[in-house]
Amino acid sequence: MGDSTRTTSGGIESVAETVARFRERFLEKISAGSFELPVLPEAASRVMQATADENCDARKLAEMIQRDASLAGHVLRIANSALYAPTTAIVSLQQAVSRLGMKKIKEIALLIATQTKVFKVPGYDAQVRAIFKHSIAAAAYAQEIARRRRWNVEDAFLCGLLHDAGKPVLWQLLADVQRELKLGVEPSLVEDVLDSMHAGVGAQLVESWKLPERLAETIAHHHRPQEASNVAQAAMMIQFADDLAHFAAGPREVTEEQLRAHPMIEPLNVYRDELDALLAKKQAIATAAETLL
Amino acid sequence: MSSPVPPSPEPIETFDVVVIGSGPAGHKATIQAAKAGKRVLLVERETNVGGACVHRGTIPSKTLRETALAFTAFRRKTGEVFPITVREDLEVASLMTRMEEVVKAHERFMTEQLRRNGATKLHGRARFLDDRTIAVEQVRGNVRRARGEVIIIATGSQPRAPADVPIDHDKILDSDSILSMTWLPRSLTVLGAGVIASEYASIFAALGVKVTMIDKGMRPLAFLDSEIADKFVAAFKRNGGCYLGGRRHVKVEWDGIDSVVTTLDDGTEIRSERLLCCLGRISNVDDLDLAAAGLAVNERGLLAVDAHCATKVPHIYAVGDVIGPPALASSSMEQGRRAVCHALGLSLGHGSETIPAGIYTIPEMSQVGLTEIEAIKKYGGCLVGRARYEELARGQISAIQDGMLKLVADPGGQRVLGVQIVGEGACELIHVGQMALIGGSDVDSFVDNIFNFPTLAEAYRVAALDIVKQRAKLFPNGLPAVMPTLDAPLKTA
Repeated sequence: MGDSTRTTSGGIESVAETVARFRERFLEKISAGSFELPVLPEAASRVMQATADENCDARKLAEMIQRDASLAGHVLRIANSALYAPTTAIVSLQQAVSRLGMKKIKEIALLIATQTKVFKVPGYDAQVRAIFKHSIAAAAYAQEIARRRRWNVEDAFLCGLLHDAGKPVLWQLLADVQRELKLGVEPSLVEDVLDSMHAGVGAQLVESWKLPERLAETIAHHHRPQEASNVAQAAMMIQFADDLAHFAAGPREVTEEQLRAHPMIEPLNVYRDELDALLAKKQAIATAAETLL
Repeated sequence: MSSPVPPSPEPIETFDVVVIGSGPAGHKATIQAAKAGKRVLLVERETNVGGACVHRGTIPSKTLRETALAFTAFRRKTGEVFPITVREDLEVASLMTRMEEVVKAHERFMTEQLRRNGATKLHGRARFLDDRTIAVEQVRGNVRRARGEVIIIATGSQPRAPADVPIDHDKILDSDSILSMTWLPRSLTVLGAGVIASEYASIFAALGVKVTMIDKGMRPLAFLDSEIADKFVAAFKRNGGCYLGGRRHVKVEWDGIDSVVTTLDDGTEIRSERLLCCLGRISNVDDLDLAAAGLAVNERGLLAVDAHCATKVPHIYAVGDVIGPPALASSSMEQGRRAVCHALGLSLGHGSETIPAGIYTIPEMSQVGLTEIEAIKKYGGCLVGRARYEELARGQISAIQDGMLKLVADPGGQRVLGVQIVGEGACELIHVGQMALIGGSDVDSFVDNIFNFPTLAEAYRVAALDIVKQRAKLFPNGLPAVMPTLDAPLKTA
């Protein structure tokens, strides 16, 4: 925390008390589940632009949604909400598009762009953009691994896209609580909170959108796949895709050597030439992730 | 393709028999050789044993089929009293909740059998160094070498990916990826009309998916008796399926929004949520470096073998899908056994050449021996007895539609030459006919002996009576001698 002591109505509060108060408020918000995935301002404006056009290219809008973690998340949330009262539980973006039709998807996109909280945490803009970029790369890599293993490609893509969705939520929440309690938070604490909580919060988010349990479970365990009894394979795939994405698009530095010695290589049965093929996609995936942002 | 293997510090391990691939053919070969007391190495590139049969197609698809079947049978057998429809949000996985159990149980059984028989299993990709030595590249890249006095190639096959079908295993799938779909599509286009295409097309149609099959053949499953195939098409159509024969695709494309667009050579455009490409399979030989063993595939991409499954290198055998049709799990297992028996000089027993074909469509189909056309070609004629399931008490009770059994006999109407069945239980019922063929039984044995009542097996009796009736008309003055061209002596009832 910033100041060592603060004056409260009850008198002087110690640092420990402040930290405790902060943590309590923060955890309160988390357990209430009263959070949403913030949308990047540029994503919102892109959607506005696309939908404002009478001849809005459905293909372009569909692609836009597919490639932005927050837009994708919100489309799924709204598609499964009472607003659209689906007779069909929507489990993937593809299904949302084909069941609801482009007209409704357009409506939903506009709704997201106008009503969703736009990400606004001074000092964390760059990190959030980096996470969104990383998410696209992870989705692309997860899709690639799933294709090779003949596992479900849609699930892989969605889990890759949303695996770090907890991070922007936590940044936003931390910022909100800071503002509320008029406190400053040390960057190291932010890191700790993010590292330890983003997988769980991401899973909670996905669950709140009524997506299949296996997706939430996969996201919850993407750093500890061995603990994901029902979705171990998928969680291992996401962990590997996560590191491949860091290698291709950052933000963390992951080297080729680290990937060649990756603990998931054996359980995922990735032979050398298959790994070579994945590594060779680095540039293409980095470029694809870059163009969106 | 292959880079030279650096000299390995590890010595070459030696075995009597090295088997490459652990599907039905390789597994059976391994067990057979191990039971004969040989030192056997089984190389498998996947983490688990079983091959495509256990992990990709045969067993998983039958599990989905069982659900589809139970669903349609429930509707039918309860006289449609209960209004059940497939929920639109049905996830494919939920239809196969038992699949994992089924697959795991089968795999456990296979692994246990290998362990019990003392075979060594090695996880990695095999490649020939010479005609007796293979290098096995493990997943981390380290290489082990093994020498086998006998080597058996059982690497199987994989779906062919035609250059003009952009398979992404997401919207445009093949038979390896079709079961990984998350949600049940509303519509599915199936390219091809072979066994795999017909099985999936009919399973998905039974689940309420609007299925369109496209093939150059006017009717699916060209090798089947046409009457049987027509019954299948009729059932497929009743389930909402559509068969577009005599056409082929010229373009397959995802529209970027919600449909796969298939354009046909007659200009027809078909839009569907998903597409399944089943245009043949190719042998898995790419990683093997066959040339190092002095082998090559033929113009059809298959390894050529003799009657004992030996390749042109006498101590190297090839079994299962890698040698081409019939490419059934059952025939592959038998090939594995035969190859080992031949290599080790063991007796084969009294097996016959008769292999039944089982097709797990809805309704299922099966045949053994000669079809009507084949019999006419071979013997200049034949008598055919038919039994329709509607004529059977069991067929009526179970409300089975589209069932038919065809019994093909020699022109004198005495010896059974073949049986074709379409309808529930076909793949089980066929074995009655198979035993009759193997035993050289005559048509009358089905009339003179007693079958359980009410059963579908009674179809044999009805069909035999049909032949007896025709025979009586044709030969009012007594039966002709059994055709001299029929080799084995006829056993009369």
